[in-house]
Parts: sequence; C-alpha cells; structure tokens
Amino acid sequence: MTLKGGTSQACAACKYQRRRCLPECQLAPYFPADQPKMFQNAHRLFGVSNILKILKQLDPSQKSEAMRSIIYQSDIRDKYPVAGCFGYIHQLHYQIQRGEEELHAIRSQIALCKMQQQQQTMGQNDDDNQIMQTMQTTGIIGEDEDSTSLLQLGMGPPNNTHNNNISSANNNINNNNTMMFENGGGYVNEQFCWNNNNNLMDFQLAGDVVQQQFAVVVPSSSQEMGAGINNSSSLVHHFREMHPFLDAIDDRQSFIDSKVAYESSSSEESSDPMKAMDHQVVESTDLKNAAACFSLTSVN
Amino acid sequence: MASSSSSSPSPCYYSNSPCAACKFLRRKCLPGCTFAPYFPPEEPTKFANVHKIFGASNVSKLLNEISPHQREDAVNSLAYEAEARIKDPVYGCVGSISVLQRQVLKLQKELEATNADLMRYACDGSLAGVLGTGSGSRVSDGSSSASFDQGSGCFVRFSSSNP
Repeated sequence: MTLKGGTSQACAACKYQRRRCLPECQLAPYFPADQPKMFQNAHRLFGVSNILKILKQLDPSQKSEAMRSIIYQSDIRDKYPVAGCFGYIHQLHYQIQRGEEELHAIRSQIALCKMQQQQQTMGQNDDDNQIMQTMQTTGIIGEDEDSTSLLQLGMGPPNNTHNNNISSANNNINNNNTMMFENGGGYVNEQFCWNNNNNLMDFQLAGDVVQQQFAVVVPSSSQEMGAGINNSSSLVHHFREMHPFLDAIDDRQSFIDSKVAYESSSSEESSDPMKAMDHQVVESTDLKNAAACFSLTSVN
Repeated sequence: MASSSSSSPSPCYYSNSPCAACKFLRRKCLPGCTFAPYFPPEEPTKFANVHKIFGASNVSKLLNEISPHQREDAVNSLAYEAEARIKDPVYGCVGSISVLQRQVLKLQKELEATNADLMRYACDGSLAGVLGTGSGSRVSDGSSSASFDQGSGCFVRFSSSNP
C-alpha cells in the first residue's frame, strides 16, 4: 500500500494503521511487513503509543531487546489470553520445584548407595571367602540362573526389600547379602518400607514360588515391625517365631535353609507356602532339625 | 485482590467510592463498570500500572474476550506483567522467564549428571555385590529402571561364568 521511500514496503505497524511509513519510523525495524500478526499481537496488548512510550525511556542499545521482549510477551498473551507470561512463569517455577525435589531424592539415593558400598566393603573383607565356600558346598552357585530368571520375572524387588530390612535390623550383613545373592537380586530397595500388613499378606497368600524364599527371609523384618504385623494371620505368628531362628543362624546354616527353600520352590508341591511355613515353625528351635524339615518339605 | 468481588457485582453498587479504574480515569463508576470487580479502590496502583503499560482500553478489550470467571485471573496476570515491565522496562516479566528457563536447563543437566552418578553407583554396587557379598544397590524410582537391568545383567554374567 504505502511505500517507504518509494522503494520498500511499509512496516506492519504503518500498514495496519494505514499511514505512510516514513524513514524515521521507530517501529519499522521491529515489525517487518511480512509479519502482520506479530504487530497485531503487540498492538492488541500494549498499543502503539505505549510501545513508543516504553521505547522512549530506553537507550538506543536497549530498544532492540525491549522490542523483542514486548513481541514475545504479546505472542504469549495471544496464545494464553488468561494467564499470559504469568502462567508460564508459574509453570517454570513448578518445574524447578519438581526438579529440585527429584535432584534431592537422587542425591539421597547416591548417599545411601555410598553407605551400602562402604558396608559391603567392610563386610566383604571379613567373610567373603567363607561365603563363597558355603555357596559352593551347598550348590547355590549352580542355581543362580534360576534365581536370575526369578529376578527377571519381576520377583526380585520384594525379596530384596525384605533383605534390606533384615540388614538394617540385625546388622548381620553377611548372612543377608548371601541370601540376596542367592535370591538373584544384588540390590537393595531402601524406599520400600516393610511396615504394611497387607504387603505381608500379599506375599503370603500369593502361593508363588518366591514365597518359600520369603519363608526364610521375612521373619526378622516382621518382628522388627513389632505390633504392626501381629494381626489375625497365623502365618504372621510363624514369622515372628522364626525370628530367633534367623538370629542364631550362622552363614552355612542360612545357606542350607535358603537353599532348601529354593529347591522347594522349584518342586511342584511348593505352591503351598503355608504348609512350608508350618514345617519351618514347628522345628524352629533346632537349627539342624529345621534344615532337615525343609529338606523333607522339599522332597514331599 | 479482587477475589472477594469477582463473583459479586461491582462494589460500586454498594459503596460510594468508585473503583480504582474509574477513580484514576476520573469518571463515574457506573453499575456495569468492567473494571470495578477487579480493581478495588483500595489498590490504586494495580490499575495505574496496568493502565500505564497496557492501557485501559486494551485491558477492557481483553477482558471482554474471555469468559467472566477467567477475568480475575487475567487481570491479576496483567497486573503482574505490568508491574514487572515498570520495574524492568527492557525485559519486563520476560526477564524472569529467561532466568527461570536457564534455571530449568541447568537443573536438567544437573539431574542428568546426578542420575548418571546414581547409575554408576548402582552398577558398581551390583558388581560389588555379585563379585563379593552379593549385595548391591537398587533404586526404586522409575527413572532408575536401567540400574535394575544393569544389576541383573551383571548377575547373569556372573552366573554364566560360574556354572
């Protein structure tokens, strides 16, 4: 329409206002003729006179940045007429808050990992050889592939949760680590709290192969939680009664027990974990008898 | 701010004092005043800022284009942006956006790095656990599922080497 100097097109501002775009047009550098929407947004939110007022109070070096921010702010207001930039700022604040929380959580995890590694290193120096010997004696190492398959089936995490609780409760890291290894998951889930009766019952009633591994692992954690677990379930009492059994046990015996539990888990009749529990509890006072009992269970 | 008056008619109906907008523009605050619910007379600077940066006419047009229940939020966001533009004429609230975006990016990088650290520790823990006592580290949140896989991978390797 109006030509600027007779050669170039009028800027979007002048075009919109249907006026002649003079060479000294202040808005021409920021509103090219081919982007009318950009000017319309800015004009709708600020208005030409307000934009010029803002530009007037600034140094020439700042004008370009100011116009960029004005155009950006206007575009956002066009997209979000209610919240505008304020909504975006809110969103960013929320994002940062969430990110910081996540960062904090990850750092806590790392601190815990460090602590566990230190504990492992300390325990490893003392009893590593003994554990390996025991594993070879009881044939646990040969069954690792099955354990891994259990882990891959997603059954690992609960096992190790209990192991972690045992670890914290008894400070008997060597036993527990051995059992964790045997169960196929070399990790500890420190956030999963074993303080829920329902969780315990879920494990007990599932009738899964893994349950029989819990038969050895769970007791100390259930006693650790004390009154929280002593509800109507007889199995819970079984777990409680088994606690001293695990406390007194040495490395080798723990392997015997857990190995038997593992074997029984692979047998066809192992689908009844309650039966296995009963056997274990009856003989809980005598470690050797208990081991024999597990063997019988697995055979039967 | 105007929350108490947003759902009710203009306070001008019940009080003699006109709303901040009408007071500022030196006009009579009529019952149908668009600004009255959102610019109470107790907050004169709120309207002054908005008017200085956006202009009463533009604000009125914007408010008429959105539904009544959203108008209070719109006015508050406009007031925030106007105040920011007055404090920082060059960048206004966009300056805050820029700062926050940089912060988010920095946080993302930090999170990635920290996650990588965690993965390393988790993997190291699993390795140590497999080679040593069999105990490693396990993270339970969704972002760390790979550590679980790494841990089990380590275990698989160990068991295959010890038939």
